[in-house]
Amino acid sequence: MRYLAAQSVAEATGALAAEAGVTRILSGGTDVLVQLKAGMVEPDLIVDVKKLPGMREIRAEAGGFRVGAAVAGAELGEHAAFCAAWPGVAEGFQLIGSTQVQGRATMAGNLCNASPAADSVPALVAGGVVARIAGPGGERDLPVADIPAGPGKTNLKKGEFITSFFFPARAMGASDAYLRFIPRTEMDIAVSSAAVNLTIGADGKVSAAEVALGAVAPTVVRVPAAAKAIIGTKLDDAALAAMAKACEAACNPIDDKRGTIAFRTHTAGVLACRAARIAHERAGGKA
Amino acid sequence: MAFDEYQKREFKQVGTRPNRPDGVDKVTGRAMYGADMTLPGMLIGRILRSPHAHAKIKSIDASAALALKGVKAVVTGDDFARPEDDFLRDVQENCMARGKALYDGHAVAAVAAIDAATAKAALKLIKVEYEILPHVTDVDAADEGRRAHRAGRANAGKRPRRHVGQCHQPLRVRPR
Amino acid sequence: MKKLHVSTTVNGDPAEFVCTPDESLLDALRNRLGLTGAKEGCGTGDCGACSVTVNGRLVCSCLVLAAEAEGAEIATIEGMAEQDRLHPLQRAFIDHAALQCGVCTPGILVAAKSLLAKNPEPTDEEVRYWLAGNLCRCTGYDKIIRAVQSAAAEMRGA
Repeated sequence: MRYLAAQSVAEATGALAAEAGVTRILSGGTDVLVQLKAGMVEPDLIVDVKKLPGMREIRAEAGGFRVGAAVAGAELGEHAAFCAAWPGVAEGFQLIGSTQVQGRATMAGNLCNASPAADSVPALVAGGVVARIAGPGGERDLPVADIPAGPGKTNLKKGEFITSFFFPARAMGASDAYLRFIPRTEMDIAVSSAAVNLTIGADGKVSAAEVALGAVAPTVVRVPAAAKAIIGTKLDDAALAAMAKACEAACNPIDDKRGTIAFRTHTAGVLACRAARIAHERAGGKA
Repeated sequence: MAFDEYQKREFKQVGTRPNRPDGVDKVTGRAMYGADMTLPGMLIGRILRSPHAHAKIKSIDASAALALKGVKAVVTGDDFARPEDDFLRDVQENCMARGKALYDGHAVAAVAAIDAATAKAALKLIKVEYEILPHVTDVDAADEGRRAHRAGRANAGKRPRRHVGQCHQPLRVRPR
Repeated sequence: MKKLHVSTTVNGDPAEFVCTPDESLLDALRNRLGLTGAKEGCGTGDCGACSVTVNGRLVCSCLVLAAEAEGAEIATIEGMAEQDRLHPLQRAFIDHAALQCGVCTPGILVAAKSLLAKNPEPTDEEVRYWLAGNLCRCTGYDKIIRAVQSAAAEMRGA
């Protein structure tokens, strides 16, 4: 295996494209190093992207934020303005692993490792976040929702990697939340999870919403029907019941020792409703 | 001596809270555990384990591993003497599989090499031919499957029997 | 695999080593630099026994490539005491019997020091969540939490 600490995007994409064998990106390394040790992957080339300009920065842009792809969870958590605007994204990301893992883990890595249960992804999808991708052919933007292709697979082409995430400007009265079910208190993989991103209008009713579920399908699942169920409401019981039902209908989980299909499906609906309530409260909504 | 007298004894160590004598070494990282030690000429060992819960080991070809530069030895179950005693035989078989892998993770071969990377590479070069056999993971099925697993030998380790005294009615004991 | 030459700083002093590209920082500290304080409990970033700080950030050294140490500042358990003066956390662990076999101890001390640098007055719950990535099989954690709080109080001058 060869290690390359790329100094420029061109150097990185060039080396990745030129490598005939197996390549891996090294960002936080909290997935790839584990896989390396277990013999699950034997890269011929590993490209460390952390030294690339902007990869570890959080900048204001167009009223929103551009977050470098190699920003670690601990770093993002220390950015007060970002966490105030996107508490759901921040809390999802910061649920991953331990304090030590948070010192290294990145959203790009979490997204591109493409576990169906990835904790940072549902809130990114619900937030309409857009990834900027560098590649041999140049730069392109792609919504985060379009990146996971299946367990362990992404829609990135050879030589491509994410350089940053764009978080759009926040409307007044907008907020988000992320919840997951795990059997332990800490340090576990989601059995089911839900992210809700919503905006409350001047009339106190939900004017816009996005709902995304994790760990209940091969990739994160957007549930427009669940969002529709709460739009125009103040999250009354009937609206939330319809939301839960829509979430359950969208689930297509596996059955294993950590959660049965029935359990994952049911809890996804419950978590979506709770996340909606939390996002609503954060956005300034009155119960 | 009487209980009350025992209570009045004064102890020099019991009942005190001494600081552990190895505390300083441990909190400074100076304490040397087995894994922290290196000696000149020391070799590194690694174990090749069966990925199958139950399988006949048809053959083990370690020639490529032995040919790898830096590998000093490879052992398999055949390199061990066979104890006469049943109990010791079980212990030895658990250390290194003999003819059959009895669980996922059962040691099948071991390598000694000059460093960890060489030992790891050597393990990959050992070719084991397995004939996968059925296995059970359920207690009730295990009772039925015990004869298939170890021909003629029961799943139970011991069957203690004890008869004490006399009963007015004969006890009904289920024949085994 | 062709080896790499890495120049780094460990516990404030310059350090160099030669390593393979796939070696972890933990491997390099233990096998190349002889700093065996950080332990390999799991190798997968779950147990925290390998905890060190890299550029001030608490990480599992088993999840960092040795090559990444180039130009970085690494702090390990070996740098915690000031010559022959133990750090308040180290003293507190001995005084409060917060260790038995001691294998988790270097990792926990490095992690606890990192916590108190960020939050000098944590609640018990904050200590527990911060140390969630440091597993201990021997003590049951209670004495560890007490020791951390005792050291924190001393460090606050309380």
